Amino acid sequence: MYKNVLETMHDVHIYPIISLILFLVVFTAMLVWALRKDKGYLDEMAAKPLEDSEGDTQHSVHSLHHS
Amino acid sequence: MNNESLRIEKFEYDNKIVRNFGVAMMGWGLIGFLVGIIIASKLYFPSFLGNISFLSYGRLRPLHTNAVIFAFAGNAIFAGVYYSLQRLCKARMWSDLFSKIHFWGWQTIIVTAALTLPLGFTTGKEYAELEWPIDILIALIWVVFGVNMLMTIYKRRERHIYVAIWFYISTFVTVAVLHIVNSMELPVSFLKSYSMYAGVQDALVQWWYGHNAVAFFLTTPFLGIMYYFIPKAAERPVYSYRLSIVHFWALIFLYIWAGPHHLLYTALPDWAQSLGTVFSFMLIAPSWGGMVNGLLTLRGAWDKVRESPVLKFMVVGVTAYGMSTFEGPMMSLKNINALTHYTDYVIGHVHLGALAWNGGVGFAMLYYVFPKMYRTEIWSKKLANWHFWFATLGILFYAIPMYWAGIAQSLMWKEFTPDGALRYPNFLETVLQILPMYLIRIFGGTLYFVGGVLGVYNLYRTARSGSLMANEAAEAPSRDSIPLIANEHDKTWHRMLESKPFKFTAFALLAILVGTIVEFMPTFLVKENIPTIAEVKPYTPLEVQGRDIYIREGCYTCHSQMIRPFRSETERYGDYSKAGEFVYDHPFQWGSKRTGPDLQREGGKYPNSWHFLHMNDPRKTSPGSIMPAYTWLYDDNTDWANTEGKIITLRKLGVPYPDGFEGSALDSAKAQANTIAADLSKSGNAISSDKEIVALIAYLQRLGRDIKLSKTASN
Repeated sequence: MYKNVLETMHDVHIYPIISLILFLVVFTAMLVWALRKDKGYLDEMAAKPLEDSEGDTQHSVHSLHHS
Repeated sequence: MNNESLRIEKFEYDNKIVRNFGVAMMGWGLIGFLVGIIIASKLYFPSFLGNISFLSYGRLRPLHTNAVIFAFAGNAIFAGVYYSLQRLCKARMWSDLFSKIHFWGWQTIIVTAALTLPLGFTTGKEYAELEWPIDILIALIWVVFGVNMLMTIYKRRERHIYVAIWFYISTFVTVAVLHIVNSMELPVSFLKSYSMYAGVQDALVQWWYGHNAVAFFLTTPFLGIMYYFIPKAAERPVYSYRLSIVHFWALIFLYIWAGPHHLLYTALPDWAQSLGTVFSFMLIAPSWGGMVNGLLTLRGAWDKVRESPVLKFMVVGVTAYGMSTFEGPMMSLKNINALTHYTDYVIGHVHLGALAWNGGVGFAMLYYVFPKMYRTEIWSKKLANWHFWFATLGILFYAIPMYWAGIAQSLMWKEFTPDGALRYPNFLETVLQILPMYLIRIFGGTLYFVGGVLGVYNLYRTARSGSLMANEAAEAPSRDSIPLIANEHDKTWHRMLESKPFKFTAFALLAILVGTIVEFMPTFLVKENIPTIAEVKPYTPLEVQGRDIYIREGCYTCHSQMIRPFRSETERYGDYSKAGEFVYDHPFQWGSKRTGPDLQREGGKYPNSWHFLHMNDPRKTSPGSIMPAYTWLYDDNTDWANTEGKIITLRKLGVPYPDGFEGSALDSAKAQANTIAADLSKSGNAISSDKEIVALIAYLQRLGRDIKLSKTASN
């Protein structure tokens, strides 16, 4: 049935519009969310690759104390 | 929380698997580069290596692309992922057995590819040439990799999932979807199948796959590697973690829509082309977000770049990434695409990506992990610098001549005399003009290869000077002593999401499926998108056989079958291509590069005898041509035995052969072959009608004939 609906649909240009709206919604939501992240979390994550250096166990323990 | 509640666990990182993938990357890389130099040489010296079928250009080119993408870059990804994932998760890979199956399975796939592609077993779809049994193996091994990775993340001793791992997860899910959807094919025999899709649909699926293979195989995993190894080597935190979040989601959401930019001005519906253009253009933002984040992580540490080979390769890699991801969106604009598509410009573009970005980040990663795993220093920094300069100069000597050749040739294709005739009506003239560039390209490729050899030797000596720490001891607070959600503030939905790898995976999958579905649905379901043309009829059994020879020999690597609606193309090749002309093409053969002219209206252009002489020695009919000779087609017999099976398979896929036609297919094929052989004999070119060249001529003479005949009839 759905196939028939699509087959008779003439205004195929609705698809680019759907895509544009989808993109704007997703992008805006993601942007708002990213901008609202707290600095402590961002700093901790930015330094994440450095944690497994020597003595990183200490670092992990340290960061847990602060959480 | 106090120290008593933290239970420290001891465990070991698996370095051996990283080493194995690293070694495989180097070995296959050198082979891939070498095959590249061989095929580049064949484009300048067409008789180089003689007329041996399995060493011909059309068969080696897919071997080169597959080796560099899946063997060199593939093994680089796995080495980088296995090293960084374990450390970011503070956990050993979930299953050593799965790691081993992944490693040996992947190498088996590469070996089978290296055997089947030169032997001519190919699906004829670019970068997805491997036949169906290998496709199944790829899917299985990929799942082994994915399960091992997701379970490692699940078992981690770390609260948060770092952004590099997001990139790895998106790589796993998207490549799985791409590979399965694009590889849908119906087998005729053990190593022969037909794509389930035809014509425009096949093209859309193929370039959705092709483009996103670039995105999710050659970009996202390397961004993950960049996000781990640049901070490591620079000993600095990531410049902006916020930027990394934004650019991750924007990148994976946008990339999936961009495939149709490979099909601009083709018979693909216009709205789909525009969609591809818009999303490709927007891609500049997240791509450059990634580049900027990588480079700015080095702020205050640029002095280290002078000293560290790791950072040198990273900087060139990330800069090339920035350049490629600027070129890509530009080439997706229709006016620029009109100029660059089908030319060597694209070849320059992809090599900037593969050699500088993938090669640069890949080698940087090796220069970092080998000394660490072997508990030593790099054997020779000086040699690493030599590698760096050979690689960098090699890339320049490769890319610049290709850009030059591409634009020069394209302008020649489009040039008209004041009287309105093509200035260069003979395609060959435009090829001869750019041959010096092809020579410089060989030089550039050789430089890069020599650099690679130096790098491999250096890493070998590095390994020899130390000893492999196969299992590296580490310790971290146990998983149950780390609260996944630390406090109330932590309970944002994304924080919850990213702490749960399976939910995160599902969300990433959703992000890439949205674009896929919106793009595919109309083309697959709305009939008006593929207007059928009454005159276009299915191929005759002999033409089917000839077409399969065309596919086997990789003719699509140099010839397009897609005439764009430009006067410069309709004057040269004939009427522009219509979507309805390809409805029986399983797979489509539009091609992506014109090293030779378009062939869509080749049928009837020349007599059979011309093709006969041309294929045997192209320089006899076209002096100066760089096309290889296909002498074996004159010795080998057409495989008649599978004619019936091919007709049955194609009918199952929707080609309207009447019921029972398969029974008479062989007789029909032989009758048509006899007619062609008789015609050839009349022109003094006697040959048995069983030979492959006869079937190939039948196919070439059919190309575009339906439309031509209908025009003649209506006149």
